[in-house]
Amino acid sequence: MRFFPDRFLPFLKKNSFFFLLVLAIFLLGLAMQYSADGGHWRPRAERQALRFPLCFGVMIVLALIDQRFWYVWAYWIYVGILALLCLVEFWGFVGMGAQRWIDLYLIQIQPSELMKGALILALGRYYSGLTEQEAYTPGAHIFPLILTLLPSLLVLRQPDLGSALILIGAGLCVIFLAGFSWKKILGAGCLGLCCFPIIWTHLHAYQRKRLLVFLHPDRDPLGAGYHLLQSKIALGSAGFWGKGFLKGTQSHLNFLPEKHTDFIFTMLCEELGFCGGLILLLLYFLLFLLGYASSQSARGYFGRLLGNGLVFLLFLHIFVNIGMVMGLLPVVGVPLPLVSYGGSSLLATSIILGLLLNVAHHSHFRLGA
Amino acid sequence: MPKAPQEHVYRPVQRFRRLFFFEIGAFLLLIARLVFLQFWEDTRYSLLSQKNCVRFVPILPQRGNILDKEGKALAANVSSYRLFLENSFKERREEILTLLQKEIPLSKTAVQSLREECNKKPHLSLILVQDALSWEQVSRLVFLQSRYSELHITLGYARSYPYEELFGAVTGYIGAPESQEAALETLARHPDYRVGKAGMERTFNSLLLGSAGFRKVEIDATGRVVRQLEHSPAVRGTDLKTTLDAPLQSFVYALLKPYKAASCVIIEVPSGAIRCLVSVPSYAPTALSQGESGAWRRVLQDPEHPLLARATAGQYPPASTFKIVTLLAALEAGFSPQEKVFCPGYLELGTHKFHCWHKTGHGALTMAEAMHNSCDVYFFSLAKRLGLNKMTEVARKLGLGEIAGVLYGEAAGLIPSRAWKLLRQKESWSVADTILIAIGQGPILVTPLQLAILVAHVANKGQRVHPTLEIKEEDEDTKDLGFRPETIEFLKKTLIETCTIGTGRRAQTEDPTVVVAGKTGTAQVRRISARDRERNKTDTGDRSWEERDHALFVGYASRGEKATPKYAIALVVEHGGKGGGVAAPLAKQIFERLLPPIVPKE
Repeated sequence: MRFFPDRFLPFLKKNSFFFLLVLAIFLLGLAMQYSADGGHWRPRAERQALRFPLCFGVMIVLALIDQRFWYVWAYWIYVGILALLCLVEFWGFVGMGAQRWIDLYLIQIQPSELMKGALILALGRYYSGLTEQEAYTPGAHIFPLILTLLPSLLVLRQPDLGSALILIGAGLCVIFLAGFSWKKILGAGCLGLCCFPIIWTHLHAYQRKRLLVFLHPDRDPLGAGYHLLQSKIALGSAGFWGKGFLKGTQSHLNFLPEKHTDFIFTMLCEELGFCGGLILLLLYFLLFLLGYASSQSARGYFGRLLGNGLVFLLFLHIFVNIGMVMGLLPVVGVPLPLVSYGGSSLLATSIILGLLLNVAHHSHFRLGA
Repeated sequence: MPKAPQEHVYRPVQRFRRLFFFEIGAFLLLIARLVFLQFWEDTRYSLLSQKNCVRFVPILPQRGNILDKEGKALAANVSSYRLFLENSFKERREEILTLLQKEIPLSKTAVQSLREECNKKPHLSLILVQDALSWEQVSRLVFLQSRYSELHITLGYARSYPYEELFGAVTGYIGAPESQEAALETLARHPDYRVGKAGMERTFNSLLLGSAGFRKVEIDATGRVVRQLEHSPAVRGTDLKTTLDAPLQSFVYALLKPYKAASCVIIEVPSGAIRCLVSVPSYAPTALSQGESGAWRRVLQDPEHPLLARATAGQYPPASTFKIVTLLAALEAGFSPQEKVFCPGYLELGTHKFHCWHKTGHGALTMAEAMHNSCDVYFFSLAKRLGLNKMTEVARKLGLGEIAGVLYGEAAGLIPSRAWKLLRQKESWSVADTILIAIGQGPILVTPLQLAILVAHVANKGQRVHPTLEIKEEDEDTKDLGFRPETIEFLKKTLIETCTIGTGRRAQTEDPTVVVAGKTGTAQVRRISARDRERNKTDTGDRSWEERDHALFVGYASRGEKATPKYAIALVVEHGGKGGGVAAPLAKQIFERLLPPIVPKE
C-alpha cells in the first residue's frame, strides 16, 4: 500500500521544507486571528487552529493519491462539483448577503472554493489529452472555455465576483499555457473592455460603486471608499516595524472592516509593519518557487499543466487580495490563502496545495499525450 | 496523426517560464506598492490614523470669582447638577423623552426643541436637558439612569451672584457665546462654555475665564471612548478683586431704590478706585446667566430698560454741573474772578431771551457768587466771550465725552463742536448754542461716571485720576492736567462755599470736620415755554414723570480740606426734580455714610 511508513516517511522528508512554509504562513495568519479578536483565542483563532490539522490531513491524502486517479476522474470531479454549484443555486442558504453555502450537516462548504481546484484538474486533463497540433487549432479551445465559463457564471450569480474572476483568470491561464495564442487572449480582453458598458449595467450597485472608488480613491470616504481608505491609513501609518503585535489602532478600534478575512493583510502590516508584510510575501514567494520547480520537474504534461495552473491559482488569490487592500485593484472579496479566517478558504487552499504536492510527488509519471 | 515524440517536454516550454516571470513581476509590484504606502505616503496616513482614533476633549476651567474690596463674592460658582442626554437611536430617544417629560417635568415645547436638537447633533453627542436640578429631581433621575444609560447626570458649575440686582449692572451676566465669537475658540464646542456678556463679566472675561484643559482619548470607530491617553487639567480663572465696596453699594442702592431711575458713582481720590457704581433699576444676573427665559422676558419688556447700566451708559445733559468746566475755562483764559456781571433774570441775545433759573434775577455777582447761586446769566456772559472751543477743550481734558475704559458698554457721551452740528443738524453753530453749552444744556451729554471723574480731577487738585474697578498693585504715575494751581484752588474754594451757603448746601453733613464740595445741576428735559413762564410755571415738579427735570449732584468730601482720601461722587436722579432739592440731600446721606462722625472716646 502507498500509505506504508516506508513510503510515507520519505514523502514527508522530501517535502519537509514545503510543510514548514505552509505551517509558517498558517501560524502567521493564526497570530493575526488571535490579535483581531483583541488578544483572545476565542472565537476565531481557536476554531481556525482546530481546522488546520483536518485540512493538513486532506492535503497529505490528496498528495498521496495516485496521479492516475486524478487523471481518470478529473472530469467526473468537475461534473460533481458543478452539480454542487447548481445545488447551491437552488438549495444553498444565504450567508453574508450571498447565496454561497451548502450545508452538508457536518460542515458548511462553498462549492465555489472546491471548483477552483476541479477546474484546473479538468482543464489539465483535457489539454494533456490533445496533441500539440490539436492544441494549436483554435477550435480545440472552445471546450475549455465552456468548462471555465460555466462555473464562473454560476458563481457570479451567487453573487461572488471575486471567486468568479479567479475562476476565469485561472481558466484562461491554463488555456494560455496549453498554447492558445496570448494575442487572442489579449483580444478577448479588449473585447471584454468593449463590452464593458453592457457588463456595467449588469453589475450590482455596490460593485459599480467599488469600481468608481477604485478609479477615484478619495471619492466618498465614508461610504463606498471607506474600506479602502481605512486600509490605506492602516498600512501607511504602520512604518517599518509596525505598531506592535496587538497594538494596531485601526484594527483594534474597528476602523478596519473585515479584518479577519479580506483585510487581514492590512492588519498584519499595521501591527508588524513593512517587515511583517515583506516576510509574508517572501514566504508566499518561496512556496511559489517550490511549486514552480516541482511542476517543471514533472515529466508528464498533465502534471506540468496542473502544477503551473495551481501555482497561478494560488498567485491569483494572493495578488488580488493584497492588491485590493493596497488600492491597486478594485475591492473584491478574495481571501488570502492560509491566512484569512474561514473553513472553506482553508479547505480550498489545502486542496490546491495537496494537488501541487501530488504533482511534486508523482513527477516521474508521464500522464498525457 | 503521428504519435507525439517521447521527449518529456515538447510543448511550448517558454510559456511556463513566462508565466512564472509574470508572477515574480506581480510580486515585485506588490512590494513596490507596499514601500510606496509605508515609506512614501506614511506621514499623511499616520496623521489620518491619529485623526481617526484620537480625540481632544476640552475640559472647561472654572470661572474666576468677582470679589469686592473686602473679598466678598459678587459673582461666584455654585455647583449644580445637570442632566445630559446621549443622542442615540430614535425609538429609544422618544421613550426617554416621554419619560423625562413626566419625571422632571418638562414642557411640551422644551421636549420639542430637545427633539430638534437631537436630530441636528451627531450620534452619541451630549445634549443638555436641564440645568440646576433639585435634589428631588436628581434622585428620581438616578433611578431612571439604571435603566437608561443614555442619561448622564453631571456636576457642573452655575454662575451665581449673591447680591443679585444690587450689583447686576456692574457684574453683568454670562451666556453662551455667539456663533461668531465661538468660531475662534476650540472650547466653544463644549456645551457648557460661557462668556461674559455685559459688565465686569465681559470686561474682564479673558482674566476670569482661565485656561482650558484637555483629555486626549482614544476612541473606536463608533465614537466611544476606549481609554484616556493624556490629561491636562484646566486652570481656574483668576479671581477678580475689585475696588467695589459691597456695604456702601447696598446703602446707596437702598437710597436710590425709591426713585424710578437713578445712578451714582463714587470714586476714591487719589487712587481712582471706584467704590460704588449703582444703577437703578437693575436686574438679577443669576437668572439671566442661567438663561431663564422668564427672567429674560421680564427684563426685556421692562419699560425702564434695566439692562442699561445707567452709571456708565446712561447719557444726560450735565446741566449746571458743567459750570465747573465753564468756570475753569474762563479762569484759564485769564478772566478775573472779581469781575461782576449784573443778572436781571435773563440775557438778551438778538430777539431771544435766555432765562436764568431765578426769575427775578440775581443782581450783580462775582464769579464765586455766580457759582454759589448757580446763576445762569453770569455763565451766559462768560460763554459769549469765551467761545465754544475753550470750554470743550477743558471738558475733554477733564474726561467728558470720552470712554473711560472702566467697564464694557460705557457710553461716550457727547461734547459738540461746530463741525458736529454742521454734520448732524446741517446748521452752523450759533452763539446761542455756545451759551446753552455753558450751563450744560443743548446738545451735550455726559455719563454719571464721567461726571464723577470730572470732580475726582478737581478733588485731586488738577492731577489726573485713573478710575478703575480692578485693584492694581502699582500706582500709575499721576499726570498734571495743566491747570494753574490758583485756578484749581479758587474752584475748590468756590465749590466748598457752594455746599455751605449756595445751592448745594443741603449736601453739607452735620459733622463739621467733614469738608463737602460740590455743584448741583437740574437738567431740563423739556423747554420751559414762554407760556409756562407767564403762568409762573418754572418748577417742573407737577409735570408728568417723563417731563420732569433730572436732578444731578457732583462733588467730593473728605475729613478736613487737605486730608485724603477724598470721595468724589456723581449722582443723577432721572426726572427727580431740582438738583439742590433732591440730589444734594441724597449726596449728604452718602457722605455721612462714607465719613461717619467720629464718636469721641470715653
